[in-house]
Amino acid sequence: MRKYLMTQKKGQKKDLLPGGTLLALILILLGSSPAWAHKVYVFAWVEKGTVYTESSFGDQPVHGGAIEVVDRDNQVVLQGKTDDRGKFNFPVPVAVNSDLLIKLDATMGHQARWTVTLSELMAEGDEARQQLDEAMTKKETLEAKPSMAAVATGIAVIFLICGLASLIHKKRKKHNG
Amino acid sequence: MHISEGVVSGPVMMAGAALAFAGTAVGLKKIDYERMVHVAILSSAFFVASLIHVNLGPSSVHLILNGIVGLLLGWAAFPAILTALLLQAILFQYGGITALGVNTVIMALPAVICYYLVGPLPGRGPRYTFVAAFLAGAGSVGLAALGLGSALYFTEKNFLEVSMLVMTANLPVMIIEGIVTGFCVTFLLKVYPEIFPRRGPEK
Repeated sequence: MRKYLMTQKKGQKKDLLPGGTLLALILILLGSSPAWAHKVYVFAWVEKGTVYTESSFGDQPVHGGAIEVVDRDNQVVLQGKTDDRGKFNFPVPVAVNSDLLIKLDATMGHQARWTVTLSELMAEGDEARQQLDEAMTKKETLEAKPSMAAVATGIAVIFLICGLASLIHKKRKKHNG
Repeated sequence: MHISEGVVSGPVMMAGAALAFAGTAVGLKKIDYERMVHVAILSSAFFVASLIHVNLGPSSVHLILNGIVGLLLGWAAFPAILTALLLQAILFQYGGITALGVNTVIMALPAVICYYLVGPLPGRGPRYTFVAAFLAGAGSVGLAALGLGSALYFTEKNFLEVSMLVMTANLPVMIIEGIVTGFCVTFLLKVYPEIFPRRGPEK
């Protein structure tokens, strides 16, 4: 391999940016990316006596994901599957007396949970509207895509860690003679 | 491919953390500190790769790039992948902190296996290089899927069903990763051969 690498090295410019090629690849891949996704979440809100749930991988709905609704005592209240738009709705159970935990199993280790509080389930009139507004704000936060700032922060942190490791190693080497 | 928070049972979580710790320790010992910039580049590539995803059936799969990380870093793939996964969990909410160990092993162990199996092949000629890189890319995703199936088996107890589902869902990713890794490695060997690990007597 060495020999091959040596022959490859001949006749090539040495001043190529080490990360340039991979960085270009990353940018191309990001540019062609159809969506930003991979977190899994289930979100639920209550409106006019119905609990609406929405399950998603960011901006792609979870098709046919298993939904299980349990009460405070971990008793299964009902089960179902999300539709093509990642939705699954059910009427507020008549005998509800605790918060409801909604569990999503989107297969392959993708799971998520969301709690609908008893006050949300019981709210009426203005209070219900206020609860709904709060729920929608939470939904927007959940749906937020990873920003370029987050990506840049991650890459910067990786380079910082590697730089520090390299620096510590050099100091140790110097210290040990 | 990321296992979400609270999916795997306690013992699997602990075993994953222990294995990830051991792998990272070996990786840190074997890392070539003169070439830390390569570790940073590949860790960054892994970090952003999972943002490129393909929606399949009820689940979602994405590029992993653990094959190329393993091929170019060897054991250093463990600390590189661990760092990237930790940042993915914190910044993108992918996977989870408690599942970090299991996720690291699922993705880094196949990378190291591929390093040993096909690592010596790139550089023996263009055809060898592409085939070896393809095998590393596709194989490491396949092995990661198998690892994911195994981790879920201890929780769900239906290994064959889970593994088949994971493998089937990741089959397109295996092919895509194989091709991407093939082209990347061939290209890198031409323009930047220094990125390949120096093989020879172990330090």
